[in-house]
Amino acid sequence: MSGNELLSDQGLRIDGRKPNELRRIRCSLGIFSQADGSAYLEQGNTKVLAAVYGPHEIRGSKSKALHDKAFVNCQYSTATFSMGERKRRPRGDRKSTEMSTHLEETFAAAIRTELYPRSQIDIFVEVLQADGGNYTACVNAAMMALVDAGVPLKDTVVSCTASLVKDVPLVDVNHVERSGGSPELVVSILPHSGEIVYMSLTQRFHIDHLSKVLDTAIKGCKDIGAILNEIMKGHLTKLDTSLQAS
Amino acid sequence: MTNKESDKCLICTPGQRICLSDNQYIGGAGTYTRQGYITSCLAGVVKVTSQHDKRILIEVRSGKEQTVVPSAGDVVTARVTQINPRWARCAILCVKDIVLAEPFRGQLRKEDVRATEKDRVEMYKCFRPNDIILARVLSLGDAHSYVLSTAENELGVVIAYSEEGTPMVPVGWQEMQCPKTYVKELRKVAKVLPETISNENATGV
Amino acid sequence: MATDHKTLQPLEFYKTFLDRKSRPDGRKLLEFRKMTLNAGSIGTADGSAIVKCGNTTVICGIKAELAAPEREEPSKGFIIPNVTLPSLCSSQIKSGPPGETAQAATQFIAELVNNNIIMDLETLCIKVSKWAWVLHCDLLCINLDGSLLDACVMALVAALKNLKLPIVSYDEEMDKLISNPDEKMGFDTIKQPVTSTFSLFDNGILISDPTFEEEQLAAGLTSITMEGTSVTHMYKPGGCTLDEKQVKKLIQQSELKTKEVARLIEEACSSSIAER
Repeated sequence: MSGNELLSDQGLRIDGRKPNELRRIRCSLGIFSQADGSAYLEQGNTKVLAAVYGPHEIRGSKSKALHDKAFVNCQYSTATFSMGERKRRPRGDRKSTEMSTHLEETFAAAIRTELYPRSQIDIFVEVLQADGGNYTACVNAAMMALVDAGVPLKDTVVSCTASLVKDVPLVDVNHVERSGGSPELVVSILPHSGEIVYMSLTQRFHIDHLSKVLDTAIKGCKDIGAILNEIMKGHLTKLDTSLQAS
Repeated sequence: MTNKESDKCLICTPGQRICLSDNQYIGGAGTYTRQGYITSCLAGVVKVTSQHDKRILIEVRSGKEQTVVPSAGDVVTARVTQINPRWARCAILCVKDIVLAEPFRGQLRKEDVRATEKDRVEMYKCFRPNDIILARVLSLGDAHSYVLSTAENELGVVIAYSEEGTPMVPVGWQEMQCPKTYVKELRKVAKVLPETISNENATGV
Repeated sequence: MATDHKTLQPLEFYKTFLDRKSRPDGRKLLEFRKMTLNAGSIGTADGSAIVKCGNTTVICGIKAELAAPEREEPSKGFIIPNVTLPSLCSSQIKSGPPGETAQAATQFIAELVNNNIIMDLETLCIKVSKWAWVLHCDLLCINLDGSLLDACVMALVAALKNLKLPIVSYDEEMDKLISNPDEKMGFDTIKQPVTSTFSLFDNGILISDPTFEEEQLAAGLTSITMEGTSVTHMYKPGGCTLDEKQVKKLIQQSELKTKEVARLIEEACSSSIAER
């Protein structure tokens, strides 16, 4: 598919969005009883679940224990029915392992791990329906679950993708745009300090475009951050009023 | 900060700056200091309290109970799971008055059971599996478990069942008795007044 | 302090409730939890359903494939159930290969499938000994709080009812399949078995729809599967014993649940059809 089809003459994208328009974000917190913190997040048609357990005792091999801070363990998993083709292995394949590692590194930077020496914090994410931007949705959902669990964070983490079609930067790329062959830049930032914690680029474009695309992605992150902040506050007020009522 | 402002419910999210960290304002639980500012690390309600020394304590409270991990010096409530002549294995259930979501492993060595006559301690005469004990965390120990101690009068067995299965009452600091069969069993008993057992238990002394 | 008593002496804590014929969550002994059902919410699956029984939440997603039937049974299609308990669903589940609970649940569902309790597998056949549908039914438990089988069976039945497949016919002369992706069909031969789980305590007390904690504390477990008014499957893996009177009581209770579930499934399926 060429760039022409991805961006119409009127400057609209294949799903009718403007180039700088995010997909609809919906998120609910505290949906599970078993986990210490949980969140369900929809970014357009991408639907993910996240659950946080801990901090608790180190599981499995004791050698993972860090004497001065908590060990962050993440598992990225994709449901077998989440994609067009049935996925045979929901987790443990190379792609999932890579995603898990990225998540671990991102959240080890954001969680105040020094408060919980020699313990472990588990973050599990499950993609229920995949429509592009799976990793970013997982980061956002995991962050919301951490907030729900009351795990102390240095800053929130938000993630967003950006792409470039016909020299126009697009934000929050969906599956069709991604598989249409356009490049995808994934960025995770700490919105309050503006630091970038994760960045990855697939495909190539000219270096002159990089700053433009990066700016778009960071702008997207900040917008998502603002939306998620509102959701957090809404959730807290709801909790607060229900506490007062009881 | 006026009274009126502190009455208002202020919600903040992780990474949000609350105020300058200086002589007047100090950050408490749920906050940390970044670049000279008191910054929230939780999503919750800001709580402002004036202290005796005129300084103002800024805290952030989330709806959830604070998560804790045992640290050295804490009094913990634990269940004895396994005993051998040298040590007892325990599952730490509560730290101070906070119930842990999941137990942590602890180890109580023979020499830490009581303060005096350490060499005459016999583990089987002090604890039995399934006893509930109060203990103090000595150190983080090796990677496998926390090192616990009951070498204080207030520490030791608080709840124990006789062989027949009824909860026993303490008689003296080394014995407990079954109220049904009147059989006495040996334990390292914690000095807790009977009417406050449940209370002591909850607050972890 | 209730929470402390519960952590330190869970069984004693629970028994004080049983003695008063009540349960910590406020239910009566034989009361089941509130159930909710939502069908067709996952767009990438051919059929899907999300079931909540109390806090236990199961998602069923069905992906269909075409394959040749087995030689011994040339006129039968396949339903391949797979129950997964990812470590996300409970702190008790360790990551790694599927554990005992997940395997037992998969086996239980497979048994229902193979005994034609869920649907007649022959309706999945397109051309005898040539082509048949393979339905991969993945049941993903995302929050485990007891009575897993109840939620799994309910999710599977609802997802099957929600299933929409392209109409495929076999062209004899060309020896190939012709499909029309625009036209979709469902199966109307799906039966409606309902599983009810009960926990037994050693003093002869029965409770229905146990939570995770209750399952851990109980002495035994029984599952009864019913379709309408007939019992189709019973499962009691050891533990403490049951007498005839108790079994009758359990069947009575299951019948009540069956009616409730039938109503829920009908509601969910009709609303998801309306959405289409």
